[in-house]
Amino acid sequence: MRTFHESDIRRRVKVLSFILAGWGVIVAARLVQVQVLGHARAKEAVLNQARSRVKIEPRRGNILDRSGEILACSLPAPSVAIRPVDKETPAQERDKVLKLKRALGLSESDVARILGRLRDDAVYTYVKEKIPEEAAALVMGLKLPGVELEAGTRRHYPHGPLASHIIGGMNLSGEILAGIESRYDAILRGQEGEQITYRVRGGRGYQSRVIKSPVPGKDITLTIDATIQYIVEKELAKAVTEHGAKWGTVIVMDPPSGEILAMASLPAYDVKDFPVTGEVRMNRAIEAGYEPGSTFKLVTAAAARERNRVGFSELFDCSAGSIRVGGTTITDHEREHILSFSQVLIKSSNVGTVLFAQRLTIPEFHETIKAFGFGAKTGIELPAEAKGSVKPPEEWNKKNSLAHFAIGYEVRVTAIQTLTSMNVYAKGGLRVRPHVVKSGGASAEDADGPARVISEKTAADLVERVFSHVVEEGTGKNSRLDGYSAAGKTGTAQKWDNAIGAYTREYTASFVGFTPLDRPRLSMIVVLDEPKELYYGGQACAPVFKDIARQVLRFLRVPPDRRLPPKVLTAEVNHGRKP
Amino acid sequence: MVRRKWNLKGIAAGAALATAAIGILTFYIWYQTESVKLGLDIGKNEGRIREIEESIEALELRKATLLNPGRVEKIARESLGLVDPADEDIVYQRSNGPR
Repeated sequence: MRTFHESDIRRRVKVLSFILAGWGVIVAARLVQVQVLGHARAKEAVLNQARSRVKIEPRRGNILDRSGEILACSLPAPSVAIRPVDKETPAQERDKVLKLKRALGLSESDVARILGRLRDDAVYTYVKEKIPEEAAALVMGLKLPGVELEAGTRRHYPHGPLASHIIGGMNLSGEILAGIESRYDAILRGQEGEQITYRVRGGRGYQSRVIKSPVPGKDITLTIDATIQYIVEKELAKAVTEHGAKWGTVIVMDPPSGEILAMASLPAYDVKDFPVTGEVRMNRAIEAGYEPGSTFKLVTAAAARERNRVGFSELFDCSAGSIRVGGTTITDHEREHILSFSQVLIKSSNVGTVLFAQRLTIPEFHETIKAFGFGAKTGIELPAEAKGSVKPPEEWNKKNSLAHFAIGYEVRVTAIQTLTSMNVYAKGGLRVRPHVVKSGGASAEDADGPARVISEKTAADLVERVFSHVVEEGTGKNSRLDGYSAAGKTGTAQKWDNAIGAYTREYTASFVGFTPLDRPRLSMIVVLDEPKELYYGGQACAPVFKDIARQVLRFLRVPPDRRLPPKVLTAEVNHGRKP
Repeated sequence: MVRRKWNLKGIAAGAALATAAIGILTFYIWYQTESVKLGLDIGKNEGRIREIEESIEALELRKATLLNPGRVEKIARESLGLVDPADEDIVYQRSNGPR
């Protein structure tokens, strides 16, 4: 057994303490040298090492149609970037950039730009942005020092120009200026992540580390049906070409819910070409205000019938073909005789309409106009919706404004407002807010329920005794569908020219209606601006309604609700397709 | 002068403690290594899942492009000779339930 003496221990403790103290002094001296004397150099070295923080773009949410069909989605598309590498000669840099040129198909100007920035010792230079993943893998396979990938995504629109005005669009730099892409950008965008890039291997390479992962954006499901949208766009394009119209728009709505099944506007653009400027960018369905003409008689009739100011069989003398009201002359498109209230509307007589509208006071008529939602945004979830224009009662000319409003002049409306007002009839007197977003974009507005505009009886009576007959025998008979009942109203309005301060011989033609009468499955508006030759709503727009409704009803598998022409076979089974 | 003796019991206890400490340390290192290994495996698998999800999305996009109604109609009409059915050719499925 080993024996230790106290003196030995004390001596050894002293020696050890001396060594430890010496070591402490050396460490302290080194610390002073590094942290105090070498502070500036150390700081520079650290900053030089942690060269940059780069934002990581999150995956943007998809935009889907009502069946889950992709209308817009984002896929990974990294960008290639280059950083200067220490001790690399200009020849080596050039050789590296030429390799990138071959791999990425860069132009000579791109090569010059990149080399110029490397010469200027620019910290970070984009070689090519948003490239396919296969190309990115090829570049990384070259293992070029200082060349790195920056994560990113690229927006894809698989249906091309379909529903471009609803979707909006986005360019390579992420610029969004319209449609759902713009309105729900905050939901679709997600949250950016962040990564930090360090110099490694003595400045001859770089390494990245994610310090905050990106949060992907959420999907938005629209009420639009891609197939119905396609049918509508195809028929609208045909009509605009056939009639030489300046612009046109069609909206198809599911009457009970207010869901927009299709919304098309021409001229249009391809979403892939975004951003676009000028005429093509405007979504006429919600942004274009126009004087509606006779489709506004939907409101005039409702105002008079709701207050019992006129009976259906009451007669009006329209034989003069015109009427003088407060210094202006209002004429009919063709001279009529003595017409009942119903016939006045079925034949769209302006004279008859003015005669029964004069039984209303200005505040009463104004109240009904506002109840139908004119002069205010409908609240559809698309940016840039126009309000239209309805003057307050005190600004109405007491002599003739009421007569002008009655036949759809002095008032500016949008197509979506007119469709919403026709939908009041399809919905038994209730006004529902039109909407294009089915899920993913909830807002406070969604809490709004239907609002009562006119009584159920007023709506039903006017549909049964007036608007169904417009389609059967009146100005809208070109919209009549084999096997399906329908209601509608035509409109033809002369256009006002501010330059000359008068109405011109140019027209805005429209037709608005719904089908079938019992349990309506679709309501629709067709508007054509400045159609040539056949410029009446019943001539230019009613056939478009018919062509679209026929195809959409087939697509929705809605069986006919009235006697079919011979040879049409029907069968009873248990299921159908909902829009 | 003081003489101190190390007894056997003390040495044994010390050895036992040292063995236990080494054992715990070994277990801790093994546990940490396994955790890191599992973390790496999880990271690798998550990366693989992301890759597969991205492939699925790319395929969904391809599918949507191929099913573009305009393209389908063009092929159906031009290549396959589709003709719209006449009214009398249609058998409607009438639903008796609520719509």
